[in-house]
Amino acid sequence: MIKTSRYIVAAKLQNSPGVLARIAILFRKFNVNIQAVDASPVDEKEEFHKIEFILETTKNDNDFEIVMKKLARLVPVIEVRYFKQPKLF
Amino acid sequence: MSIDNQKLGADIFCEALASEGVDLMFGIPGGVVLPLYDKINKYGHKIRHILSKQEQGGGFAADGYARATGRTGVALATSGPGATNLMTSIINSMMDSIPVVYITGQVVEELTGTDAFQEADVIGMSMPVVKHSYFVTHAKDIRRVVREAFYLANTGRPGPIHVDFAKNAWITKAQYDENPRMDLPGYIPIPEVCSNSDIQKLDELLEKDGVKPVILAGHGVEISHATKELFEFAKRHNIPVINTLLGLGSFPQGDPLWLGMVGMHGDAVANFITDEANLIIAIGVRFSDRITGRPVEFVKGKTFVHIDIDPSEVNKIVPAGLPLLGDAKDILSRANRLLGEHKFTNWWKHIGDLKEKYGFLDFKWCPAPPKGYLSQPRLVKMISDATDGNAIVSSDVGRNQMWTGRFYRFRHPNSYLSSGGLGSMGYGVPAAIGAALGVPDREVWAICGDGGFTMNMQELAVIAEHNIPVKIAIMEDASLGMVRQWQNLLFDGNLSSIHLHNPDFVKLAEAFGIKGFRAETYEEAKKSIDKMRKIKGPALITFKVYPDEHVFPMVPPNTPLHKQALKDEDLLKKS
Repeated sequence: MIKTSRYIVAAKLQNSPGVLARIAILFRKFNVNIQAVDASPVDEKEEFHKIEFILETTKNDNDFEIVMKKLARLVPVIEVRYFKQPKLF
Repeated sequence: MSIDNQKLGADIFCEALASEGVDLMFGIPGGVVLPLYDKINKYGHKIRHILSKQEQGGGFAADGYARATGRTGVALATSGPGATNLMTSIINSMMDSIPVVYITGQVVEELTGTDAFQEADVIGMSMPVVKHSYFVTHAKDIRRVVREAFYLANTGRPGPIHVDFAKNAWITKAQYDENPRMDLPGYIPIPEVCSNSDIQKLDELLEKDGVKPVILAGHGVEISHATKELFEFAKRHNIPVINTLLGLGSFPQGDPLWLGMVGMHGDAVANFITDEANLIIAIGVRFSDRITGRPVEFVKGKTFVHIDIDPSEVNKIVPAGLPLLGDAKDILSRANRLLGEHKFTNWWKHIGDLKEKYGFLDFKWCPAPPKGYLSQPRLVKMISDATDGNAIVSSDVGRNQMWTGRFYRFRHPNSYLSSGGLGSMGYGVPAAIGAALGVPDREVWAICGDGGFTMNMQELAVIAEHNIPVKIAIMEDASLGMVRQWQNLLFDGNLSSIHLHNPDFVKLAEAFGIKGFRAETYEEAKKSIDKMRKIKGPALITFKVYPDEHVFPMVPPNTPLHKQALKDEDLLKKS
């Protein structure tokens, strides 16, 4: 069986049409699967939004870190935080 | 605010381009950009518009212009087919980190999503292959978006910016703002900068016993204008300098420290040395598979010092023992202040032995072809000698590209224009157009294969129309040469779909009004090259070259560098 890992990822960004597509295209390029996604404004002014993902990937920790660095490099993305989800079962 | 103070989007766009320093653009009009083209002539004294013959040609020309000048290129296409024709060029600029602003027209906003005539979701298409992109629907956004596009394209790690303008943008009105505020809170051109103490760790690595260092200098050195700093750094530490294909020109090629090009068709010594080195100081390189051979073996026993502006390139392919993030020019000049000096005498003795054994910058692995045919590397050297290495040279992709990289001795940075990452045939001629218009005081050559040349030969019309002094050399072997080489060597000589039915290239050139030459002997070649150089305008020459002249060394895919094949038998024995 191929070993997969799960990550929780949050990206703070400028919202505009297509910004989720930009991110999803990046994940697709690295063959990273989106298990769950949620988007909401960070504050009441709605200046910035955050999108949170649960991702599943066969990538090792180093390669996943590269995906996160590429994510942080997207122009509308202001900040990226992520951690590996421990496998409970 | 009175409406009279307001300007049409088309005017705002043209003024914005001029304000960003654009003096040249390549484009082809069409339905949804007609309101822009209605105004563009009015700004002709500031911005020269070159009508390309196919959008890919225009895109490649803008890319070539950017590589040769270091300034941001501009290419424009209408919606739908115009924009899709531009895609290859956009990806090309992305792969090689070239600053180009690509402009496309889009149907009016009310029709978007209706599959309107010439509608294509080009922002969706280009999204994976741009540094950033915009969709503009109103004149009020144009000035800010143009400012941001040019700022993004040519700061940090450069790259293509795609701006798609709905027709509404040209025909609505807004106030022109000379200094719009950019709104890019997520963009930091240089996201991380290494400290002096990080740089000082390099000294410890260089002091270690038995260290065999190599500098791998890539395109980033030229982008960062760090050639002088690199030279001083290499001299201080007496470390051999090896270039990637796109890094060629970043280090003086007559200097004893320079060991040529590494990679699939790199110089034999450069490949051996890169393989044997245990300390690689990589500057502005991204360790493409054409460099590493088999990555698992490539990294074995090596420590990598990776100098790069883009944090997402570090640890991507090779583990960086010492990542030095930031601008190469800044890091190298600090290193030159902070670090001591070195010699590496034993290492150099070994390099000398390898040079003796495997030859260096000579034709040792390029046997002369049968009588009646010319040899591509010898022709490239002839052009190199004739121009004394001072020309800007573009190439197509394939054998002509490898031989141009290996046998043209570039004296200046930003002089070898080649589609490195994408490997897009048809690049040579249009890129040379962009370079010749951008750097009019330098001689410009395009060295093409016959396959690549025919992919964008319609651009000859542009060269003829504007009398652009590009000299085109076609290596004519009636074959898709590199494919032929692989089929010969790796597919038991089963030649499949590689034979080209060429036109008479001399007549073709003359049909466009360009002086044409043909050479079947070295004597004819030499004479014709001299004649071509004396012509003030464009000229084209076709050389009858040997179809089965293979580029060696050759590191087959996923093979370690030291197992490079040096002659046919090295590969044929195995199969």
